[in-house]
Amino acid sequence: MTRTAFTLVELMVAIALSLLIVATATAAFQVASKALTQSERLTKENQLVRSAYQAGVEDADFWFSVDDPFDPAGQPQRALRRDTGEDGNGNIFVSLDLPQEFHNWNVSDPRSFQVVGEFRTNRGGDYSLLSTVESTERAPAVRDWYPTMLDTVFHQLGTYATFEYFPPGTGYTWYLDKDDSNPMRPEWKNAFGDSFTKFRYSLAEGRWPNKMNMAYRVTRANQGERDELNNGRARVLHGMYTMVGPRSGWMLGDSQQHNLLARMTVDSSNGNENGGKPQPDWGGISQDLAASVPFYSIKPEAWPGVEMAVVRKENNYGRRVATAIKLVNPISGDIRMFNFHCIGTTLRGARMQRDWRHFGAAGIEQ
Amino acid sequence: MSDARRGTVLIIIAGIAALMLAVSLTFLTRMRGDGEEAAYVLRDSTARIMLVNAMAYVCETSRLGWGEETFGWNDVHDHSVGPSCFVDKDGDGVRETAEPVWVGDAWPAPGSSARCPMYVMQRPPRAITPHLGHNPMVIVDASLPAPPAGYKDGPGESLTRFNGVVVDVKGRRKMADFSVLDPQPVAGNRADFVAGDPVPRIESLDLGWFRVYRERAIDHDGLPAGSPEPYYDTVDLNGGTYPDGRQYPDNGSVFVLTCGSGATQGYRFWSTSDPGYDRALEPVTAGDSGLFQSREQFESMRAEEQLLWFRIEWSPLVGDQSGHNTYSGSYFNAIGNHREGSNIWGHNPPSTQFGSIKWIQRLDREPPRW
Repeated sequence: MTRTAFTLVELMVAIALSLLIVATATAAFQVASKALTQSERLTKENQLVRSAYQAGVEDADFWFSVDDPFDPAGQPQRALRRDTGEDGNGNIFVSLDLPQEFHNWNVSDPRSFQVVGEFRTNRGGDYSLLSTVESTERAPAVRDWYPTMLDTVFHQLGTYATFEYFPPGTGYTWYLDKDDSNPMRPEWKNAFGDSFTKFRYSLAEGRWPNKMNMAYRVTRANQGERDELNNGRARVLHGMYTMVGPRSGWMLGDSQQHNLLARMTVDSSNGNENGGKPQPDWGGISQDLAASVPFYSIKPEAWPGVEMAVVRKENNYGRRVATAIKLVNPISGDIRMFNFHCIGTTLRGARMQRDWRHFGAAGIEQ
Repeated sequence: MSDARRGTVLIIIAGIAALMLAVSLTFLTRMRGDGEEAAYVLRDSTARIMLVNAMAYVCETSRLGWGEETFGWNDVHDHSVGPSCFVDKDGDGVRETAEPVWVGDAWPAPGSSARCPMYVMQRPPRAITPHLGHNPMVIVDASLPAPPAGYKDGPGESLTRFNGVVVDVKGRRKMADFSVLDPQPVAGNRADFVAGDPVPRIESLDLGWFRVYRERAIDHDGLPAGSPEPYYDTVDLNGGTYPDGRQYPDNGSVFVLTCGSGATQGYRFWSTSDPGYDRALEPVTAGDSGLFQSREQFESMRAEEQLLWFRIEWSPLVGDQSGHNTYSGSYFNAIGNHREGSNIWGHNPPSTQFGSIKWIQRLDREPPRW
């Protein structure tokens, strides 16, 4: 008998085999498709992290999150504050009103050091800035040059700039307020009997003195440091902190207030008489940074996205440019945080950048 | 099986295979792109590490590396342009004259460049291991009376000789200071110790390099009004006078650092006929070096590299008095500080004798000389 069609059994077997093949192929395709989707997500995540990294290092180099040279609205740190009488609250991108000769200070200039004591025999040359304030027998007026510069930068540009403007290892001291209840400090005089009426440190305000000086090395070389410290008349900086965060619009919260807090740097060193140790509101600042929705957003539309913040911290021990990257997984919602420190343009370098012609030639560093 | 059936099966199989292939290709393309972008980040990071190296180089060579001790890129004695070392010109045995260490326009003359390919030697010259060893200091019994005071070394401190050895009176209870490193040579004999083994470790080759261009005064000052280049210079770094009215000597402490990651070894020019070539920038070009097969190969390598340009200014300030004292603890603490991330361009008292970096400025485009 000749057959022209499949039998039922043949048809059922064929259908079963076909279904098996299709099911296998579909499963394989689904697996491959899922793998592709996942790889795409990972790729996207990696791209976001890389973008954030790139944005972070660029900001470390150009300070755009603090001062936008191309947008006057993005230049809050250029607002003049020193006319408000708030000592030490200057903004870091204020035009510096300082004679040119102060810009090019150098340690071989006799105005920048005080050669006394053990340093008198320093035949290898003078690598330290040793200076003091006001005119006395031990501190001729000519050596007021360096503390004058220090004082000027502090007043005009504020605490952060003072730290970063001066080279590593710069020593800072100040004299405390007179204290009528302290027999050792009835007057504003140092151990040499010199008056220093302009130099005081306001404990109540947690603020730096009106005038800082470089007397530390001088007093040390003359065994005066211990006298000063023991008498509670002077203080050497040990644990000072300050920071600059992104400007308003780049972070939640009151950016201006944060930077104001940052300017009001405090002495957090241990063992000094400044027991109160007023601290900036680091917690509040950190929360705003962590919660900040995209003050620097580089996420694609409709993605949970990535956030990046650059915070410049400064103390008398070191400079830190901390970059935080916060990535939200678009699928799981998991949050991953990355943090890296990057060496980049310093404040003075950034100020010089703003004097570039194609950056607006602001003239702030002249 | 009929032809029609075979054809149907073939179409189905081919379709499924094509789908799988498309998925696979997409996957591979994604991975490839991801890898390439990651490589870019790696190159950028490497270039930034080179910035650290370049700044360390500038600091250290302010005082070392020229055969004699020198005293800074601007000499700390008189601010003259250095590094200079003292030489005995009149032959009386007294080295009284300071002379720059360079000859002609060769590095480190202002206007010249140093090319610094980075790799790890098999064993650097004078390599040591940080093994702790017993310091052969005299043992001082705490019950002994205090030795007579010697010369004063500072407030409240006095050093004296005890059993012929200088000891710290205050610390006389110390029998030995185990915290002080007593480095041990890696090589087995002095000749090998001094020479080292400069052969590069192959795994460290072709990763990164830096160049250091020392700016001339004309590069950062004295530009004619309206001069288009260099765009980045608008600050007079040579201003100022001494109290007696003398003008400061040139600022010889400003450098353009080129930080690169890749295999060009930091060469800038292929041949002396390239635009902008200056012998002071590169005495031996890439083409003359014999390291590269062709200009095309060299330029291909350069195209793959990440280059970053920075300007820095060196300062002789060491910040802390202890930096003057080779034998103080802080000299060795510098190692620890570096491990912690504090460094010579931070505001940490650097505890080295090599000065510090006053400011750093990233350049957003290629400067004319580097």
